[in-house]
Amino acid sequence: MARSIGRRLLPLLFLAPMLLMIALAWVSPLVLTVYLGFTDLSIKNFLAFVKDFFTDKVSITLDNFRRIFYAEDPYVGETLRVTVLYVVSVLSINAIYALALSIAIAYFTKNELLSMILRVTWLLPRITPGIIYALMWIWFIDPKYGLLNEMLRLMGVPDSWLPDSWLLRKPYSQMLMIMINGYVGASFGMIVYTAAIKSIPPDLVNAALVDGASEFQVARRIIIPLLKWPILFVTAWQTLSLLSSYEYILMVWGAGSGQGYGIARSAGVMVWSLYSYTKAFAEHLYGYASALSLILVAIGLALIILYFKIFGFRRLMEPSRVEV
Amino acid sequence: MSRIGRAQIQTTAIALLVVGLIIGLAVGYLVAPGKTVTETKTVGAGETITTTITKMITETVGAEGTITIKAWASGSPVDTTRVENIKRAAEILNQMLAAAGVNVRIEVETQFFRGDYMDKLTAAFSAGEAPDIIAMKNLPTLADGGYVIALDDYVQKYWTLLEDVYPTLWNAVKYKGHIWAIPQDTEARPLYFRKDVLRQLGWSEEEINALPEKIMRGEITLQDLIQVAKQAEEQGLVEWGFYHRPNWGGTPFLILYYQYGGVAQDPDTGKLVLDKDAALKTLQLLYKMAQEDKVLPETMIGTDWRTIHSDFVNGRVLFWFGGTWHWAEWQRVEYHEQLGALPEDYEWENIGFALVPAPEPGLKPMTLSSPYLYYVTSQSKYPEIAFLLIVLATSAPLDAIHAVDSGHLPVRMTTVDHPYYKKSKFHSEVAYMLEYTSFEPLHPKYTAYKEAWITAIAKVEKGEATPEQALNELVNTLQAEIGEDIIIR
Repeated sequence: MARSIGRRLLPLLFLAPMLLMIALAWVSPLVLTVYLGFTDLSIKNFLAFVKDFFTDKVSITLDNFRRIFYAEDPYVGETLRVTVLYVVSVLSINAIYALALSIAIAYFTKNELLSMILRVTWLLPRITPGIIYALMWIWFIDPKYGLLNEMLRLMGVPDSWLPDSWLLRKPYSQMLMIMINGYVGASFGMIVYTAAIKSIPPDLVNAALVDGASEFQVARRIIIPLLKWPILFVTAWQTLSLLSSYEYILMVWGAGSGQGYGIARSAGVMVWSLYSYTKAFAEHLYGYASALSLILVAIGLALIILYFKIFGFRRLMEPSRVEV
Repeated sequence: MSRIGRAQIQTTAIALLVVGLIIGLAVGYLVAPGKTVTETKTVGAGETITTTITKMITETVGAEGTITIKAWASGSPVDTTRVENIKRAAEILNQMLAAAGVNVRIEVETQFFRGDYMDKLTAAFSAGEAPDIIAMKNLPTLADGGYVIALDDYVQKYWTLLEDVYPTLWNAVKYKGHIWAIPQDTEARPLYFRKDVLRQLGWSEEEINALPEKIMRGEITLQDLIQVAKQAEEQGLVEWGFYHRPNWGGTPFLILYYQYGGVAQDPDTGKLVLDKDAALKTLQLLYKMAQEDKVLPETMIGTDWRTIHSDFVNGRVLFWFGGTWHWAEWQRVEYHEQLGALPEDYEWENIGFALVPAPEPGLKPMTLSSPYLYYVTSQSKYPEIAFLLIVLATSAPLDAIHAVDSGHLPVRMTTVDHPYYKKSKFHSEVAYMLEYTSFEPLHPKYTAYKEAWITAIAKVEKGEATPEQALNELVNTLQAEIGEDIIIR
């Protein structure tokens, strides 16, 4: 009896730290965000609010959502457009470009050492501290002292095509936003894909080659179909993380009262999550910022369900990721 | 100014104050022996104030003990005097208490931030750990949110220590019928120009030196300077004719708007105002400068501060809409590629300053002041002591140190006679600008107002919208964001 209780409790004991972390770091902020999203908490009523927290004295309102959905907030439409551009573009780098890259590195590059060097090169941005990575970009794109314009000039790009400011001139600023995030994000897909490619039994490839298939046909007909699940996994994972990621945009374009806030918007890089951040920490409209984040949570949940239903997300969780 | 100079002045000020207090006490004792001196009796200025202060402190703290006052402030690297002066004020108060035989000592803990620290302040408030004194702007938000206390009673009680505050500055601390703060500093926002470039353009020394006065009299307008800027660009003397701030900061946008007859706040209702005509003219001028005359970079909004300072200090830009504090900043921060931090002599030789010129003939030159303020927070356990510290921290000797070292203008009329202040040539030469100054509105939704403006300005300068389109967008945004609190006319 005691042994059976012990057996049942033991897994819970091991799971407890993780469950506790999830409760503290995910569930409680979510509950708080839901609650705050229905209040008008701002810097003006903050002190009273802290006292009346979770009591009847706090008035519950739908105003924040009305502002968002009835387009009473003039910046919502543009923010949404930028977010779609950001997520779709960076996702195509992270999921599709990373696939081409992985096949190039893990299959076409036969020299193992070279393959490893290439992989490490793509991992560099991920192992570089975020703020250093952002600073390096800021220096790299400086129109006067940076290397980027100079490199493009050497490659024969005419001066009239080069922007006077990569940070502020649309669409260059948006291209920059996509490059900065794509370069970091590509390594995640690359690791997953490379591991998957390496786990494809060489017999399959060799058999195809003996049958007269070209290298390209091997990639097209054998490798890519076998990577179906990793591709779906990377796509699902990256969509969700891109929706809520703004840290590099924040570090490069800044946010804060007045200055950075203005730059992100006038540069056309104000994505939804950064907008929510700006509302909370630059304008101190905590209730409205929570409502904005809640929309993201809702979109994220909807996408999870979509992936689950349409792409058979459940199968991604099964042990074998490569079906042979 | 050297550190020794400051230290000497500080020591002299403290010594004079202590001697004065001791004499005051002695005279008071001799004149009225055995009588209880009340706050209202005026036996001698020193005695009254000292007695009031010591009585208040012993009643609040007890006969002996040490209390800690926390002070937070923010600003550019040269503005640390905002917290240092609180420490100096505590030293003065401690000397005063020691002289009066009271065994209470005040210690000051300070924090200085480079940017906005409102989020840290709210965190401190919710933890019950808020500082006693804060220095920032944001008056309506702080007052409406209950972060700071109204100071009317203290101001009345200690009026003798505040008589020399510039009367106009009291307007900047009044909100909803109360006084919420003490002015900490103020400034003017001049148009700086490169004398060396004007010389290369063939201007004589007399012409260069007469420029500020001609601007002041309205004889030279911004239109004239735009032509000078074009000429300098054509001759390859500078890369750009004009630079303005990368963000709002009032200059030159609000100044131009005011010059064109715009009003930002309705004096009767306190609501924010957008005069469409003045706003359109402001946007048209900026559009013309960036898109047609090409004397202003299209991507000026958002350019980083270091580039701006570096380009102006190295002579790559002819005119810069800056602030008086930049004069001090260039002497302390290494912006110049060969010289590093600028010696003041270099500044006098190569850089001049004037009011923001009238944008067109017939209009007036102007500048803008945005006083920085000291507040006492609602969580302070010793609000009256905190109040005394901010009063002393802005008294003439300390006001002079902050004004001269940080390039701001003083808040006390007596500061201009202080030797440390008198020695500063820059300050005596910019003093006249306060007669041409204007102020920003005091409204809790001013942030949204600024943001809408800056978005419109960025669009016209980049050529993404015509001034008319940008104005329409500005009106719509203001109506959506500010609602009933904006008057569009």
